[in-house]
Parts: sequence; structure tokens; C-alpha cells
Amino acid sequence: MSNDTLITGRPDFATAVLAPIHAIVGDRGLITDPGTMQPFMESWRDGWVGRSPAVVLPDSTEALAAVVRICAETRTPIVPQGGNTGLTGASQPHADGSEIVISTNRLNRIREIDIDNDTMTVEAGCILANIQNAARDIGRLFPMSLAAEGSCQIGGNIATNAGGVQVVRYGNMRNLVAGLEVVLPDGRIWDGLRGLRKDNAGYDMKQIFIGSEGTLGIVTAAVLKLSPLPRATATALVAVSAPSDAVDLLTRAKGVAGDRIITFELIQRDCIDVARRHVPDVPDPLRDRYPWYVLVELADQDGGNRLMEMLEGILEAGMEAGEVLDGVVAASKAQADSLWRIREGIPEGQKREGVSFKHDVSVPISRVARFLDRANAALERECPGIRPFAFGHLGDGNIHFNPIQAEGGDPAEWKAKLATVNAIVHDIVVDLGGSISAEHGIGRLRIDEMPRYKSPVELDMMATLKRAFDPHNIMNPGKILRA
Amino acid sequence: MSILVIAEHDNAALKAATLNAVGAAAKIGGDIHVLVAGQGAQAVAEAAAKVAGVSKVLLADDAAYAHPLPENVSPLVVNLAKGYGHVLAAASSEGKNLLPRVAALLDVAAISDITGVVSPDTFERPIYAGNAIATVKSADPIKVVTVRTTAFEAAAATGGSATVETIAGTGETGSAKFVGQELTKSERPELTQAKIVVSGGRGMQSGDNFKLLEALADTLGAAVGASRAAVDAGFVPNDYQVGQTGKIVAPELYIAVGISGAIQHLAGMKDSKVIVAINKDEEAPIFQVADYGLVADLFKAVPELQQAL
Amino acid sequence: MKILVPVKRVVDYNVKIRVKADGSGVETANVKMSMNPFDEIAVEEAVRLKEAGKATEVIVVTVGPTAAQETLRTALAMGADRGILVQTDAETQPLAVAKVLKALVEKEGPTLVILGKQAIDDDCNQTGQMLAALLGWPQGTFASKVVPGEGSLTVTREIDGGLETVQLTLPAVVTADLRLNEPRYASLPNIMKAKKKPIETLAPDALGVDVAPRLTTLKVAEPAKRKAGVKVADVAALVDKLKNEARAI
Ligand SMILES: Cc1cc2nc3c(=O)[nH]c(=O)nc-3n(C[C@H](O)[C@H](O)[C@H](O)COP(=O)(O)OP(=O)(O)OC[C@H]3O[C@@H](n4cnc5c(N)ncnc54)[C@H](O)[C@@H]3O)c2cc1C
Ligand SMILES: Cc1cc2nc3c(=O)[nH]c(=O)nc-3n(C[C@H](O)[C@H](O)[C@H](O)COP(=O)(O)OP(=O)(O)OC[C@H]3O[C@@H](n4cnc5c(N)ncnc54)[C@H](O)[C@@H]3O)c2cc1C
Ligand SMILES: Cc1cc2nc3c(=O)[nH]c(=O)nc-3n(C[C@H](O)[C@H](O)[C@H](O)COP(=O)(O)OP(=O)(O)OC[C@H]3O[C@@H](n4cnc5c(N)ncnc54)[C@H](O)[C@@H]3O)c2cc1C
Repeated sequence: MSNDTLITGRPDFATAVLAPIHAIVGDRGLITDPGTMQPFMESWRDGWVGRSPAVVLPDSTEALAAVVRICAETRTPIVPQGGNTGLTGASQPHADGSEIVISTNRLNRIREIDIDNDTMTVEAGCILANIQNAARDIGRLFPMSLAAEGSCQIGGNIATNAGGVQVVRYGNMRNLVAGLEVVLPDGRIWDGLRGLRKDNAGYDMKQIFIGSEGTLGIVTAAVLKLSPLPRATATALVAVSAPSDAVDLLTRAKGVAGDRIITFELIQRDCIDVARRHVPDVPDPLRDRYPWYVLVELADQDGGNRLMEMLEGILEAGMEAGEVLDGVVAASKAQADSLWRIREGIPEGQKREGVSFKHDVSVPISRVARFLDRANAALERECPGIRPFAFGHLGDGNIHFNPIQAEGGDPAEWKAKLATVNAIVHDIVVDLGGSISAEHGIGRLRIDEMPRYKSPVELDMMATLKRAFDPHNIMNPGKILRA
Repeated sequence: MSILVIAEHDNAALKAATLNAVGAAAKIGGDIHVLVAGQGAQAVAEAAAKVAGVSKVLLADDAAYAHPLPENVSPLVVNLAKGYGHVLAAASSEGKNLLPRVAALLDVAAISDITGVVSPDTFERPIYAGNAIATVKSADPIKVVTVRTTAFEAAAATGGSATVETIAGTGETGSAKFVGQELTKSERPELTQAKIVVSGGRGMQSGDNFKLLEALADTLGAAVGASRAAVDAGFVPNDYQVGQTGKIVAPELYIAVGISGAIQHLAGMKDSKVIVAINKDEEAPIFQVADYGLVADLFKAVPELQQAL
Repeated sequence: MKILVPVKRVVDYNVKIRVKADGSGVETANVKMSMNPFDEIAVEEAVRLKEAGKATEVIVVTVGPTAAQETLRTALAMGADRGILVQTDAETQPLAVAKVLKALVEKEGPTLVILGKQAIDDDCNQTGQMLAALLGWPQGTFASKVVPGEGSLTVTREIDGGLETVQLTLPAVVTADLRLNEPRYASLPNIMKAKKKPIETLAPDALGVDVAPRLTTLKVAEPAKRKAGVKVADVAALVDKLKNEARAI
């Protein structure tokens, strides 16, 4: 426990904070060794690195609440952490070492499965993929799905109101939560674990915590809504010449397949190249190169070949109308999985590719094409040589717009352009009625852009909410809002 | 009825797989004869005669059998088979190449890759890549069977004293010619093809420490892999990564050292036949998939393991 | 030369199968079915030979239920020219299939038959060898490379511990192994074209073949569960387990 010097202004950290926490969680629940703490200090991407005197891993809601009570009494700031896959610097502590990390890693039980109610009650630290599998085992689907699903935890998904690749059909995390259990910043437990689809008895408090990035309380458990498990899926990768054609194809597909469309992803050619460069076994299934691609997947409850015929029908009509240039349809699940590897390889590939400027933006679907044209043109004017790089969830208007520095350019020079690039892109987004954070959240990454894009009224409502729940500002301070 | 076991050999030595096939024959019960078809394969026949449980060895020594071409060997086996209740061979690439051809010529079903003998006409065999086990019964007069060698104890290589009888060959069909053979050398094998993989994770602490794993791998003839964390930390290059966004491997033996067992890592190795985990944290999730877990400091355990091999 | 490519409709490779509770088999109702992966490789090889000008026509054939037409369509979309469905709802065992194929070979007169080395449902790994036997043709099983020559075919085979090369006099049978090629995806324009390609339906009787099974499946069971892992006390115990229990080293 030699790290207490990290805590600014708390010489008695070891005795007043750490010792009582240790008494609650024991040896297994407390890490202070810097080597073992390291994975909790670093972000998956983008280089956020924090410091902290301790990582606390309670294994029950009661223990977690008791730890938070000690923090509240001693005014010790807390960073709640789930799978630590967040992309906005919200889940790592600041570099000053003033905060402890409370990890939900050991809160990982599935408490109850209610098949007739189509709900599942899980603890916050359950890994998303494990929840998906538990649902599948009982013939249900838990539809939240994203590339980090093998690491991210449901508490983190809730705290970020995660999106992912099936929002077009199932909505984002907010749509999938029926009830929550939360430890408030003063250490009280709110038991809102109600598996209800209708509950108008007063304010809907769970909504306040969904998407609050750990700034209002720590989610310890949730009741999740399950869907029927699709019996059939049909997957295709098609080539289009421009995003506007992809939008036309989406509209056409909705007309025929309705909510059978579970995924509709737009992928720029360069993204495939980057994925193939850095991730093994990413296929390039079309004979020729095209500027843009769409990964589309349909699903429904009918077995048999009907869905495949429907997908082929849509794509053939799209081809006749000139929206679709070429495409491949997965003939087996193995081929479908392989097509998905393209999509899933993109974030991985980009991580290894060099300096890029990431933007997680949304605009109305009808304006996606306009956004891409305007943003790419404006960037080329301001930062000649910058390489366009965009992919994302076209089905819900969410584009990951991540241009890469000019080939061979000096990384340091390009890094310096970050603020300029962000401003250019985000000004256009907001002008088109969009959002500067579609699914990843604000965290620290976008905190200083909030005043530019949010009205004073909206900012004031947020600040008021924060003060009401966390008057001493100990719950993930410096995230979303500055104090 | 007696059983004819087809010997597998390289004209110089009897291959171990044959001993497992004899082991399976013993389970079926009956007189066991071994056919050695080869060229200059007298030594093989003598070795076969010493195998415990074998009562007779038939040696067909002929240029046509210099290589085990099924076009040439199958007529010989078909001629002999009529006097037997069972024809067995190891389910090796050689046995699988030959026996179905023999079965078709006899107009009987072939029974592939058996893992159990229920009775002389009823066998267990894996289907759906081992995800189900079928029990099948043959109504044919001759049962033509390949044997999964790992499922049967090998017969003792010595202790028997069978007679060796030389028989005539059936000649060459001429429709297939052996051109060449290229056996893989056992230097450090490629990750996705290795029979044994030793992987290191963040627990290795540095690239330098991977030398420990390389030494162990060389002792075992294994390839070296790594977790994503080890790759990201720069201990080893990108192409070492095993997992969802790395390589998918399914070796006979996977040894995970200082790897916690994240879902994405498991996705790349969980189909390995035997999994060993060495980790100092007894609660590490890797122990949930490991057949053998050793809770220990890897810096002590790995050199010890290498010594012990 | 004409190439005949037999293909089989099987439970999709990536589907986790379930054994039926009554032990009568594996659940196939409402389960995704696809072309046997080794057969995809066989189709790909045949289509490549045609694209390279070495073959004139690629005929795909399947022995199975009416729904197996989908599998033929997939092969046609990959580039095969026409399809033949030998319609039967009976269980298809390798010897029976080989006999049907022999009849079709006699009818169609191909110089080469390429098929997958094994079907991933019954895992038999027999049909190609049996067909070669019935026809009296040479066989290049487990092929990882196929090079056509004058009246012959050079086949590199995957054998235990390495590779073997054989030269076969045509006509011949080849069975495809995993590394022979990487099969293409069916492209949209080709899927559209495939809908217009002919598929002929035949009955096994019409070919004079009795497809009755020779083996009776008495039961199908779950494999023994992977034994729960054990913690070993020390390195010596680990080595002992690996050597004597798992026989992995
Ligand atoms: C025959 C019948 C059937 C019904 N069936 C259903 C049903 O199936 N499901 C259901 O949910 N309800 C049902 N209701 C109740 C009612 O119709 C709904 O609650 C409806 O949403 C109320 O709308 P309203 O415009 O009448 O609101 P009002 O009755 O005018 O107001 C309802 C509440 O909303 C507030 N309010 C109204 N307008 C605003 C505004 N612009 N901004 C802020 N607050 C506002 C009011 O102050 C009040 O608190 C039914 C009612 C009847 C008479
Ligand atoms: C490869 C990759 C792909 C991704 N794709 C997507 C995508 O498609 N869509 C998408 O929305 N996101 C995506 N993400 C971002 C990230 O995975 C999600 O934001 C995820 O929901 C975060 O979950 P986590 O458990 O890792 O949370 P963490 O990173 O641990 O935490 C995220 C935030 O939630 C807070 N938090 C965590 N647990 C709790 C809790 N129990 N109570 C209160 N607050 C808590 C943290 O303080 C932090 O503010 C991706 C990330 C990666 C690495
Ligand atoms: C989208 C995405 C894709 C991913 N793809 C992959 C992938 O393909 N492959 C992959 O591996 N990961 C992948 N990951 C990362 C994965 O989630 C884990 O972070 C990673 O596998 C952890 O690696 P590790 O086990 O080496 O490290 P840790 O989880 O840090 O584990 C280190 C282990 O070493 C043990 N240890 C430490 N010191 C010693 C010692 N002296 N002796 C014995 N044991 C010791 C510790 O107890 C601990 O269990 C991916 C993550 C994401 C988000």
C-alpha cells in the first residue's frame, strides 16, 4: 500500500480509505500492485493511460455499496469500470492518481432467467458474449451485438447506452433494459429490478442511468429483454458506387423485408484494405474493387430458403435499378461469418494503421450521403492528402468517420490537426441535424466540445441532474461534464 | 472367423498405427492375420510376426507394392478378404485411401474410423466431427473397418511368434504411378499447422522472456503463439496472435502460459484437443477450459517443465 | 473434357448440432443446411479447370431430397453448367451413392470426377474411393493440388506427415482436401444466371440402383463430455498426465 502518495491531499488514504475497503472486499477484491493494475489503467485504443492507488473488485451489490459509502464519507472519487473497452476515455482514471477504480469483474452472475416473461436478470459484470450465449441456450436472442462483445460488460453497455450492429432492428441498449439495480453516489442501493414492459408509476428512473457513463451511480444488475431467436439468416456483401445508392438500397430493402433487416452496414473500400492488411483471414470476396460496400443481413423465424430468396430478390431489383453494382451472397454460415470478419476486422485494422481522426457521428439516414460528401470535401481543402475512411451502421444513420493522415506524413504534425479536423466534421454534422456522439458517449474525448454543440439549456439540465445525484462530484468526475 | 489387418509400413519398419489396429482386432476377437504388401519388406513381416496376438503374417513382396497405391493393393486385399470376417486398417491417410476401395469391390459397406467395438458386427464411430457418436451394425458378410488409432490400446510389439507366409501379388494396374513424397521436416512448425502450440500472454512481462517459451517449444516441436495483450505490448509480432482477431488453431496440445483466458483468446484455441494452463491466479478463466491447470509462477514452472521433458 | 462434381447437402458447418433425445439421430429440422464444405472446394476446382480451358463442362449432381436442389443452385451459381438431382428421401450411404454416381458416369461420360474427401455429417470419407473402385479408375484422394496433363493428371495428396504426388491415367476420380483451393462466393450476377441453368431430376430406380442402406444405425449419442479439467499439483504431475493420461506428448 505504498501508492497512497498518489492521492492528492489525503495522507491518511491507507488507513481511512484502503483499510476499511480491504476489510469489506478482502485480498481477492483489492489490487494495489501496479503491474496487476495496469490493464485497468489503459484504454483499448487511443492511448488513455491513468493512474490509481487501487482497483476494487467487490463480488456483491452489498459489498460494492459499502465501498461506495466509504468513498462518499471520505470524498474519494470513483471510476466505475466494466470491460474497459469504452472508446472515450471514460472508464480509465485520470493521470493524477486521485481516483480509485471500482471494477464489476466479479459481479458476474446470471441471477434469473424468466422464459415466459422473456427477461433475464444479470449482474453488471457479466460479459456481453456470455449473456448472448445464455439467451441462445434457452432459444432466445439477446440482440446487443458489437465487435467488443467478448470483453465488454453489460454494465458498461448500459452506462454507455451501447449501439452496435443490430440497432436498425432491435434498438440500442435503452430499448433492451426493463429494470436496473444501482448503487448511488452516497452508497444507497436502488432496487429497480422490475421485469416490466409497462411501468408508469412516476418518473422512469432507469433511463437516467442508461447512457450516463458512470457519472450518476454504479449499475450493479439489470433485467434485460429477450427476443425470439431467429431461425434463418441471410447475409450478403454488395458493392455500390456511392453512399446515396446504399441509402436507396436500404429504403428498397425496408419496403420488402421490413424489420427482417437486422444489419445494414456501410463500408468504404479502404476499410476492407486496412482490415485485410492487419487481420488474418479477412476475405475480399468480390472479383473487382468498388468504392463502397454494404453488409446486409436479414433474419426471421421461418426456416427454409424463403429469406434467402427475399434477399436475392431485393438485391436483384437493386441491380436492375443500378443501385447495386455487384455482390456476393453467403451460401453457408461459414461464408456469412467470413463476411462478418470484414466488418469486425475494421476497428482492429485501423488501430494498427496509424494516426486517424475518429468521429462517431449520426445524422438522419437521408442525409448520410450529403454528410460524407461535405465532410470529405471540407477536409481535403483544409488538410490536403488526408485519406477518407468511413464505415458504420447506415441502418441507423451512425457513421464512424475516421479519416487517416496523408500517406507518409509526419504523425506528430498530423496529430496537431486533431482539433481542426474535429471542428470541421462536427460543425457539418450539427448543421445537418446530427449528433457528435452516436453511440460511444462523451467521456473525456468530447467533453470540451459539448459547449459548442449543446445549448445552454441542455447543458444546464445535465449539470442540475449531476448535482442532484452526486453533490460531491465523486462519481466519475471530469467525464461528460466539467465540474 | 479370422481378421485380416493391413499393415502400414515404409518397407523398412512397421508403423505404430498397425499395433493399434491389431489392438482393435483383438477386441473383435478371432484369429488375427496381418498382410504386409510391400517391396523388400521382409523385415516388416518379421516385425509383424512378433506382434502379440498375431497368428499369421502374409507377405506379398512385389514391385507393385513399393508404394501403397490403392489401385494395386486393393485387388490383392479383395482376393484375400473372401476368407475373412473382417478386414481392418488404421484410419490413417493410407488406410482411408485403401479400405473403401476394397469394400466397394467386395460390394460391402465400409465402416470408417471406429472408436469402439460393441460386438463383432456392431461398432461405435464419431460423426459430425465427433459431436455425436453413432453405433452402427453391419449386415454384410465381410466387415471392412478403419480404426481410430488413439481409441485403441496398441498391441505389444513383441511377444508374438506368428508364421510368415509369402503370397503372390496381383500385379500392377498401371493406372496410377507414384511420383514422389515430401515429408514435413520438424523444425518449428507453422502456428496453424502445429500439433503442439505454446502460447504466452501478458504474464510473460517482456519479449525477452518469450525465449523461455521458445526453448520449451523447441523441446516439444511446437509452434509459439501469443495473446493479444502480449502482441499489443510488443513482446512478439502480430502474426503470433491467437484468437478472434488473430489465428484460429486446434492443435493436439495447447499450452497457455500467463494468459487469463479472455473470450476472444478462447475463440482461437478452444477446439484444441488437450489444453494446459499455467497461471498464478487460480481464478483465471483459462482454468475453466483447461484439461490440466497448474497454478504456479510461470518463471519457475516453464523451465522446470522443459527440464522434465 | 467433362467434369462431374457430386455435392451433398449437409447441416451447415458452423451450426452446433444437437443429438435427438430419443437417440435416433441428429436434429436436422429447422437447421441451416449448406453444401458440404469439401464439395465447395471440389466445385471450385472444377470451375477453375473450366475457366482455364482444361474442361468443357461442369455437371453437378446430388443424391438426396428435393431440397438438395438449393445445393445444386449454389454450385451452379459458382459456375457449374448444369445440375442433376437424384431424388431420394432415404438415408444415403456411401456405397449406394457411389453406385448412383457410377450409373451417371456411364450416362454422362465425364473424364474426371471431383468430389469432397468426406461429408461433414457422417464423416465417412469413402464415396470417392468407392466410385473409383466401381469404375476401375485410379483415385487421387485428399488432393491439395491437381495439374492436368496429356491424358493424365498429377495429383498432390495430403498424407500423414506430409505430401505425396501421384500421376493418374485419365479418366480418374479426385477427392478434394482443404488446401486444394479457396472456394469463391456466389456472386449476384451468377446467382441470377444460375436460376436459368437446367436441373434434371432422376430417380435411383431409373438408374437401376438400389440405394437401400447396408449399415443400420442403432443409436446416436452425445460424446462423452469433455472431462472437467483438473488442477495438477506440480510440473511432475503435469508431465505425468500429459504422457500417460492424455498421451499428448
Ligand atoms: C376510453 C379511453 C381509453 C384509454 N385507453 C388508454 C390506453 O389504452 N392506454 C393508455 O396509455 N391510456 C389510455 N387512456 C388514457 C389517456 O387517453 C392517455 O393517458 C392519453 O395519453 C392522455 O392524453 P391527453 O391528451 O388526453 O392528456 P390529458 O388527459 O390532457 O393529460 C394527461 C396528463 O398529461 C399532462 N399533459 C397533457 N399535455 C401535456 C403537454 N403538452 N405537456 C406536458 N404535460 C401534458 C397533463 O398535465 C396530465 O398530467 C384512455 C382513456 C380513455 C378515456
Ligand atoms: C472493437 C470495439 C468495437 C466497438 N464497437 C462498438 C459499437 O459498435 N457500438 C458501441 O456502442 N460501442 C462500441 N464500442 C465501445 C464499447 O465497447 C462500448 O461502449 C461498451 O458498451 C463499453 O462496455 P465496457 O463494459 O467495456 O465499459 P467500460 O469501458 O468499462 O466503461 C464505459 C463507461 O461506462 C462506465 N461504466 C462501466 N460499467 C459501469 C457500471 N456498472 N455502472 C456505471 N457505469 C459503468 C464507465 O465508467 C465508463 O464511463 C466498441 C469498442 C471496441 C473496443
Ligand atoms: C475486439 C477485440 C478483439 C480481441 N481479439 C483478441 C484475440 O484475437 N486474441 C487475444 O488473445 N485477445 C484478444 N482480445 C483481447 C482480450 O480481450 C484480452 O484482453 C487478452 O486476451 C488478454 O491477454 P492476456 O491473457 O495475455 O492478458 P491478461 O488478461 O492481462 O492476463 C495475464 C495473465 O497472466 C497471469 N500471470 C501474470 N504473471 C504471471 C506469472 N509470473 N506466472 C503465471 N501467470 C502469470 C495473470 O494471472 C493473468 O491471468 C481482443 C479484445 C477485443 C476488444
